[in-house]
Amino acid sequence: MPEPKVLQGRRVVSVPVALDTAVWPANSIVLRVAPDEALVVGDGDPVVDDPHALIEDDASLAAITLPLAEAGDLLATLCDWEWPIAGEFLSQGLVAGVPVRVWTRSDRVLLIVPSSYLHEVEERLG
Amino acid sequence: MLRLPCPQCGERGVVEFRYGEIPTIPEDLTDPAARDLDRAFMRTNTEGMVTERWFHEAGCRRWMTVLRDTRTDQVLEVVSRSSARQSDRSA
Amino acid sequence: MNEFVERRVKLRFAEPRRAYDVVIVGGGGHGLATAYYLATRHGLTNVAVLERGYIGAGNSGRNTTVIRANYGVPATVRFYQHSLELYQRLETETDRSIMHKEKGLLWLAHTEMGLRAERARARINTACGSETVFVEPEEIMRICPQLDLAGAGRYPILGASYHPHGATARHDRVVWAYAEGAMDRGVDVVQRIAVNGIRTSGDWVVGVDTDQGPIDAPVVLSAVGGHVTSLCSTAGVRLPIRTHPLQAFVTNHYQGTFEAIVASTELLFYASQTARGEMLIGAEIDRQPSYSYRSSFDFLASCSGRALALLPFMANLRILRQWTGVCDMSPDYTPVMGKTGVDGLLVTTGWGTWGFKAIPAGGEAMAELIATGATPDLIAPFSIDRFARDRTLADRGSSGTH
Repeated sequence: MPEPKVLQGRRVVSVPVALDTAVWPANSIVLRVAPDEALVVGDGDPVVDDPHALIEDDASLAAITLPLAEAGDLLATLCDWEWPIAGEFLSQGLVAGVPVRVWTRSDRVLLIVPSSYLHEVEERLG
Repeated sequence: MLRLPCPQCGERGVVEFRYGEIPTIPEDLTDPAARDLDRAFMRTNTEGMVTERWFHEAGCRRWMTVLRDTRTDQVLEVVSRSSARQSDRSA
Repeated sequence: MNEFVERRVKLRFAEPRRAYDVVIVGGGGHGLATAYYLATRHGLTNVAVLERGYIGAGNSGRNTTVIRANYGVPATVRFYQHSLELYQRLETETDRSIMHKEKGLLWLAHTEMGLRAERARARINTACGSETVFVEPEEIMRICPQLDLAGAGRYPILGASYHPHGATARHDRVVWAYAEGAMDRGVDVVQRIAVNGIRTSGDWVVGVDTDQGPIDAPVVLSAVGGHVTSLCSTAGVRLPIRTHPLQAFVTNHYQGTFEAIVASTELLFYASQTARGEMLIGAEIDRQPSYSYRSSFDFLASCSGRALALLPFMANLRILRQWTGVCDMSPDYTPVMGKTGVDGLLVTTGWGTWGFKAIPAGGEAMAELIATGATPDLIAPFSIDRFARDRTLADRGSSGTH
């Protein structure tokens, strides 16, 4: 199991339309966890067209990064929803009984959990 | 979840432990009645490093002394038995 | 934040000036309500509210929004009943919608001991002017048909106290209503300013130190959540407060209607439905003091288990969000309000798990204390010297839950 990493980022809470049109820093990972909320991992500040947007430093999430092939095998037996699903997407549900956000790209998968749950996921994934 | 390194049982979740505070009374408080009042009700409530006792209730049922950062819940040190006794006395 | 746009909240934040008549540290419900009542009831507007993050970012935004007055000792019942009545009038008074909704609150008993406690609660509430009645299981089912009276075979529901005026309100809107009302009348509300210490001269307060330089004020009110002990220690004031984490979570949308607020002291859990239809569930504090704001999976698992014993329909719901606040707990589960022994330094703290419901009455009383210099009768029992006078207010009606 690769070393999990705490995701140092910014939590952005704003109106959905401002998040739809926001300019995110280059090379950042943007997790749109709700219509009015996004988590941006990476350096630099997002530009959001909303004077009331809240942009706060956030280190509450941690991620385990897996190559896509490896993740598919693992998640096929541990996910409570059907796996694999093709494409780039963010899904969330129970993995081994623990709530996990699964961020999927063509080459890799990030299992994103609140950092305070990390040991639960690690123990259950073995 | 806060995890505590038990010297006997290894790292375990906080739900297995009972918390034990080591009260601290300011040294410049000399009046015995004021010290009693402070001991009974007042709290230092430190934001930062605290020395505290934990009882492994659902495990080996032994007390240990722990150095924890209350801002991050990181446990930095489990104080050894002899120095733990000393810190009990000084408290 | 959508609501900002929907209702066009006009929050105009200020830059800090060098001196004020009153500085309030902490832009949560209590600090902003105090500023609002200083301006509206007493005409004092040379006032600053200094907030480290954004207004309502602390416990005002992390609580479970329950408004009730069914406490266990006369002083607290009267205080919270007054607050409950102020909440009932708050939309009219501020001309702002706070989504206040009376739901009725059931406090369940699962044992003979619990029955006695709930009967006692109903009587002491009635005697002190708050409406609470004891109800039998048939009535409980009428009020909340989703309950499993058998309690999954482990926690049978034998009776309950029913508090018909128990209510909820939208926490952000309460904060914004007070903030807007105070700003409109000339109060400076400053965000993103950290107060690092209280400046004193002899036994007098002269101002505060911030990360943007010193600010002079002859009166400083600490309306801080979580960091109140550290702040007051800079003025040499010791407080009877220990800061604990408190966790809560919401599920996804429940299709049915869940009218009441349901609580159980023995199961250390309470539930209500939010305006969005989510089920909002809270519990007791974590036992160790901490400022870490860390949630735990273990809490989710154990609290869900207890909730399902009483409300089995929730087995089909998913948990959406979980969060943690920090609660300033006093030894007798009752707030600490008023003078501190340092002239001009006032404190409103010990809001532990009952701070949201106290915002109007707490703000009104602190404003009166600041404006007149005299402690209002309503909060006199909550003064910090009650511990030295052997007049603690151990309140089973607080019991470390909401």
